[in-house]
Amino acid sequence: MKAVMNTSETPVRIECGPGGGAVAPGLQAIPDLPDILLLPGRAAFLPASRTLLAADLHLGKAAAFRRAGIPVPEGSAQQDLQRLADLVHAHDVRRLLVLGDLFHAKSGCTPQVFAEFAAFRSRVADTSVVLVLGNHDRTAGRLPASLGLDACVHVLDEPPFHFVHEPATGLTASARELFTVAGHLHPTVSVRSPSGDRLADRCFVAEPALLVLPAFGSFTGGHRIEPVERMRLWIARDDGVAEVTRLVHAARRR
Amino acid sequence: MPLSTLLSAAVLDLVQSAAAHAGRSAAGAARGLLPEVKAVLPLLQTQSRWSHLPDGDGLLIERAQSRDGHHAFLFPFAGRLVHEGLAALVAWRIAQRQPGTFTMAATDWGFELSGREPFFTQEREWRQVLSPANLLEDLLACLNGTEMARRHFREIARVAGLVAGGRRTNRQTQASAGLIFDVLSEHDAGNMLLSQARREVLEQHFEYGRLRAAVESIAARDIRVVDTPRLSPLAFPIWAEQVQSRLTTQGWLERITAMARELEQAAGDMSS
Repeated sequence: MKAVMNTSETPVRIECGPGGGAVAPGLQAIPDLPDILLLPGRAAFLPASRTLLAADLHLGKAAAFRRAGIPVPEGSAQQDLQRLADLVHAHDVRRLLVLGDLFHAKSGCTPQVFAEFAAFRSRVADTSVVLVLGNHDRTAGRLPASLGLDACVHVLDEPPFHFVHEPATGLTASARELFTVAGHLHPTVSVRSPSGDRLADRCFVAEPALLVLPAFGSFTGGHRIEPVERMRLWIARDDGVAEVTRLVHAARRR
Repeated sequence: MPLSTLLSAAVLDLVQSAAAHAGRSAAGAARGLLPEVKAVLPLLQTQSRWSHLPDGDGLLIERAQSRDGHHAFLFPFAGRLVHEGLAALVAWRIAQRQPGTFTMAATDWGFELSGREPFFTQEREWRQVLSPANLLEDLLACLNGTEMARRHFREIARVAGLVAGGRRTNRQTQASAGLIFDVLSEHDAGNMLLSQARREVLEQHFEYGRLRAAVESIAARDIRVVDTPRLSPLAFPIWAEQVQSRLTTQGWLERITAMARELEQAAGDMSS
């Protein structure tokens, strides 16, 4: 992961959370609510503000491939939007915050892709939807009002949180006191055991003042994270989330 | 270049000719042998002391335990490709009885399975997982448990123009073959390129015809299961193979939980 200038030591409590699916083995009952809850389905939840966080959906990526003459099937985007709507309903979400790269590319922003997003928007009509712009969104061209986005911003500061797409950029002086929540990296982690089992998957990554979300979209690649001291990692899947910090660090020491 | 059926029979003959000499004194043993056989004679003697020398009449299976887990080595002498297929088949059949995760490695003379639990001791159990019955169905099913088709798909995806083969492309239409394989499997399961990947693995990697001949020949042979105190000279090079594949019938969380337990145990062993 890139170096982050953030110097904050804000004690933000992260837990992987209930809501169906699996939780980390050996996880104790949570006495009171954490600041960030990591959810099955590659999203996170802020209980205090009932905010759902998701990053890197890359809607229209399959469409961009097809426009370039590469035959990739339709379906991943619709399914991702359905999952997102289900998460919004399951957690009674007041605000959905997309941490960038909602759309993949200009060539993929077909009327159909926009129509699908608008349909999703009407399914979550009671929730406000805010987009923190990502590098892909910025090249996707002007986003039409028909999408129903309540706001498009570059960064969002809401102490103790600083929301941004790329974790290493856009840190204003005030943001250095805050806990950054970002996307962009599409983190994946590989865990291995002495008997030869090895499993690589998307993950959440946390450092003392930073949380990076896994890519929410299913048609997205990954970037392998090399674990360093004090880094915490959780494998993030549709059907669960499990902390692998000890596993990763134990394997690293071997 | 895989070991052919003829060649493997010839290698077994040589091992047997060495075995005939191995009982004699060191000086007598060396007489009348090919220089190559003479050179490996000490290893064959160790092999014969710790375990057995393989021959054409029986199938030798060695079981061993290391700090990394349990191992089984099978020596059918049927060539690397056939062994890769056999290893996946046997691992899959074992994992059907009880969910498990195995790593596999193969050479021209044999293959290894390793996992967290001890392997069978009984000849009868081995015979069941090496049986020619339901061979094609089981092979097709075990293809899904391994990453073989997914890995093989890279070549197909390149020819089909789904991924770039070295040429510079638009960044926004870049994806790995593995990702496209997953998306096709999820949303277009009948896609012909997927069937092609499975068929090619079956034909090229598993060499179905020779694999069938190998299991039929094993069915007619004795099976001898030996526990070795450490890895035998025939087993060690297979264990040291860098190229390993993996087969699992466990869920991801089960695997993570088992890995955590293993590492805790390893840490406990070290500190105690």
